[in-house]
Amino acid sequence: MPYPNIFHSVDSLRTLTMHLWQVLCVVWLVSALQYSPPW
Amino acid sequence: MKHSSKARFWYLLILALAAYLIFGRHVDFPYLNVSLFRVNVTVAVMGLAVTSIGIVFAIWARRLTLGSNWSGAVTIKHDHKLVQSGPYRIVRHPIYTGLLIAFTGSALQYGYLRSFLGVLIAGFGFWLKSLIEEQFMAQRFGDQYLVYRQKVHALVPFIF
Repeated sequence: MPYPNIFHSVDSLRTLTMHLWQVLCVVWLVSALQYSPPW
Repeated sequence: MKHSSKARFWYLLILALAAYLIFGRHVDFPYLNVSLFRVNVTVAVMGLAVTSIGIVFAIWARRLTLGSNWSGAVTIKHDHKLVQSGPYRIVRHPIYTGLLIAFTGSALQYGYLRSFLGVLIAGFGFWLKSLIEEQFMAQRFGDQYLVYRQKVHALVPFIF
């Protein structure tokens, strides 16, 4: 069964890297709310 | 005890400038848009790997080790502990080190002069913030922190 090859182009690798940055932002936000909730 | 919102504003401004230079699609300074090398799939995979390592390192420092000691602003909390384990055995500011590694990985994927300039600017911002943090830490932990500072480098293991 064919699967999408994320390593086929520089653009797709850049997009994947941006998703990693998004994951980091989410982890940061969750941690910030967990340890210093604004309420 | 907190550091001033003015210092925090400048720190965030420096980081925003760094992110703009590294990730920005339209940076209107032609001399900064010079390509330092050709980015092919191999280089892009290396960039992805380096970024992943940096992000994992930062999350490790942030979540697993620092826990409730962490704050976005430089703050000494009531039950603040001096963490010297995990990534803090390698550098004194592993979150910044991890982010710098990750920025470097992303800069590799673009290959522009401005991308690496952005990494340097981010490093400068982290260094400035670390100076403020260390004043607080030295006040709070005294000799214990000074001994730790002599043993472990700030941002780059064995170098700086």
